[in-house]
Amino acid sequence: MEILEKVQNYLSPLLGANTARIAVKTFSERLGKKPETLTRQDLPVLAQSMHGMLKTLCGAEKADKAIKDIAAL
Amino acid sequence: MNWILLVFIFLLGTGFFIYPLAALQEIVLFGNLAKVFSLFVAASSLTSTQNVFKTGDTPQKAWTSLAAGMWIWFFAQVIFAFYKIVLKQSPYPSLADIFFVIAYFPLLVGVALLIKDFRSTGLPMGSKNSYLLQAASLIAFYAIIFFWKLKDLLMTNDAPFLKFLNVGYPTFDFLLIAMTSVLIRISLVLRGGSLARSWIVLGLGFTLVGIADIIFAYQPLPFLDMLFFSGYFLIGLAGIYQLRMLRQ
Repeated sequence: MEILEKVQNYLSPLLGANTARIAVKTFSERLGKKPETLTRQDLPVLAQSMHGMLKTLCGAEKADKAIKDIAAL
Repeated sequence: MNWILLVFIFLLGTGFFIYPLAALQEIVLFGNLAKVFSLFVAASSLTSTQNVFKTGDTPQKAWTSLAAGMWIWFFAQVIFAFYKIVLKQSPYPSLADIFFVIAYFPLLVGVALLIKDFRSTGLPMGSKNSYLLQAASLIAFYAIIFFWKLKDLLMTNDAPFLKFLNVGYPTFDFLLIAMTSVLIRISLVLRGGSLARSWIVLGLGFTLVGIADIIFAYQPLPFLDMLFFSGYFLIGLAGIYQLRMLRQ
């Protein structure tokens, strides 16, 4: 499974499929990468950059867990 | 299906049965008790949601504010029900109105915080132009209502507090509807997730209450109680959906 798909699948139940797709696109573009070119090495940085968004939408506890999980996908 | 939804469907069904058949006194009793109960459910549900977040979490402030508003509406409704059921009076303005009006402040702050929080996430919300168009349409709509109905209420010889209430209620309702319309738009971006469901029912709940309140100001029809308690139940459901997302 592609990295992009894995991250989207992780975020979908939380944010909804549409937001998950938009979130991965928005934050990977901020890292200067197209979502489909994401690699496993990008995940810790990508996860960290999503922390603020996840904290705001889901609370700190859930956000902390999510970034650890995403970094380890 | 969660219990709030079940109780809501039961009350709605009972309402459809009672309103065409029962005597006015029974309708008043049912309507007031249903509103008190649904406000209690909504306030408790939002308080549970608020408690799940940690202190300092951004969403906690928004849900605390919304819960505070619903509790104030609950106390206002208890006072109002006491007048209607026990004293068999309909005083206007009354002590209940003070609480009904005060509640708008935490409710508006709560909705504003949810919008502000979402803006801070960096996720796209839609184009600036579309929001400008939405704001312009809402302002135009309010201007029509103001010059058509509300302006005359300001010109009467009523006491200042009564004038404030007569214009304040529809204005606050309009503000709440306007702000929740933004929330519903954001929810469309978030569609498919538990968070979107929570914000959509919250927006719909406030919209129903706002519409019922605006109609009530001009035509206090008993069946409007069904719109009120439906709105309160939807607001309560928003808390449940948010909790569900956090427990996923």
